[in-house]
Amino acid sequence: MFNLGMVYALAGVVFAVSLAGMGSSKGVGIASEAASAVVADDPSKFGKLLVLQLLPGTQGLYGLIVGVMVLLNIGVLGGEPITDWTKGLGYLCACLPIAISGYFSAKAQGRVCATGVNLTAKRPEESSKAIVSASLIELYALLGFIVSFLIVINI
Amino acid sequence: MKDIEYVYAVSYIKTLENKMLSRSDMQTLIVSDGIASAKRFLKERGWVGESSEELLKNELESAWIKAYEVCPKEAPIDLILYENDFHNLKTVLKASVQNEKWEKMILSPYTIAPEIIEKAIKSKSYDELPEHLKTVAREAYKLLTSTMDGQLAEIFIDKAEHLAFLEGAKQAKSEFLTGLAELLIELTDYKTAWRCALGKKPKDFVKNALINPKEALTDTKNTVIEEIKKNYPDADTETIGAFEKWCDNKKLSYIKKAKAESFGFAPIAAFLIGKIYEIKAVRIILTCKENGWGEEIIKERLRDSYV
Repeated sequence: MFNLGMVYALAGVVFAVSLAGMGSSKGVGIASEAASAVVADDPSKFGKLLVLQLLPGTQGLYGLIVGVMVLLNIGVLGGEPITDWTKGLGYLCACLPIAISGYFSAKAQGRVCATGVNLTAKRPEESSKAIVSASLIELYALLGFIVSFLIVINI
Repeated sequence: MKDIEYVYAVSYIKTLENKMLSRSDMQTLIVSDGIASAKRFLKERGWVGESSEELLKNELESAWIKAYEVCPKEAPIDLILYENDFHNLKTVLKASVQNEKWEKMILSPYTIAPEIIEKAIKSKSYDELPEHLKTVAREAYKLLTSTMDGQLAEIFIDKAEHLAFLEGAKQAKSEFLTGLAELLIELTDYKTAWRCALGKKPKDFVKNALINPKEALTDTKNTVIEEIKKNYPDADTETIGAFEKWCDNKKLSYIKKAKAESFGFAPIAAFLIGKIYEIKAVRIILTCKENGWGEEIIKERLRDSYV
């Protein structure tokens, strides 16, 4: 089952899932630390802060989706395993956009979300603005995801 | 330390910041009907204590306790207390030499109890004092007992305080605190030069009193004012009192810049300094209320507020 093409493709899966996941865990960690401090003082703000805590977590999901799609396409989760190394290299390249953009955007989003948490703590009625600011970074993770997705389905 | 390590602390401090007295709260306090009404207002805002002094002391100490609780151990919180430590050293030193009481003139919170400072001065054994006070306490004692000039000893301690703060800020690698220390040194030099010019002190005395001696600051009052205006055209140089108020507001406007930050130690330091300003403002209002002084006197003495 294992050949050079498969190794390339699996390396791509590892990058997509782990790098995007690392970025998300950092981002969610930063936002959650900030949110915990605010909730410690005023538990009623938990609901408003939840979205801000979750936003940096989406990059990890994008990485997972791309990873699972590659696993399905290369025959690890059933079907015919790939044998062509160029195809495997193609899958590795397909995984890089979400791996890289996911990692960096999730970290940056975590910082923006922490700032948004402070904004929400001070002016709860402005929480939507904090979410919109954090969502601007989401766009770049989404672009990475779309490119990875398009490459995977066209190989 | 990485700025990200302060995320929890900063967010927690921001929640405390949101509870600070606003400009309109200060206005309510000013127009309140007597001291009892002012105290009631403060208690409704969560301040604890019966007497004015208790209310102020508890509120300030609780801010510090909470800051120590939430900040990482390496946070340079103690640096902000240097001002109180050095003030207490001046007070205890002068009182000890003149056999007077100092208890009522102590500023709290502090990093070292004044009783320990007194013990060190009386026993002439300074090892129990923290690093930033050890040498200066020894030298200031020698200076005071050999010259019996309280002003000289005060100048010596003030200089040491600013230099220790600058050194500590640099060691903590805090750009915010270093900038603050440099600003304070500059403003303190202007104030010292102005006071020396009013007292017609000799040039050598002025040079010795300044932290960063400049020729322009060792001359007449007009030369000092010219120098201030050259660097700060907006400075209020009408009287020395007005200039001191302007200096306080300048310091406040510097620390306010850190209010918008969400990472690092700067917003925490800004909150703690802002809290000191808040306590000073409330103290002025309560003192005026206790003495039955009018609103005009209060407004004249009040500085800008942090919130």
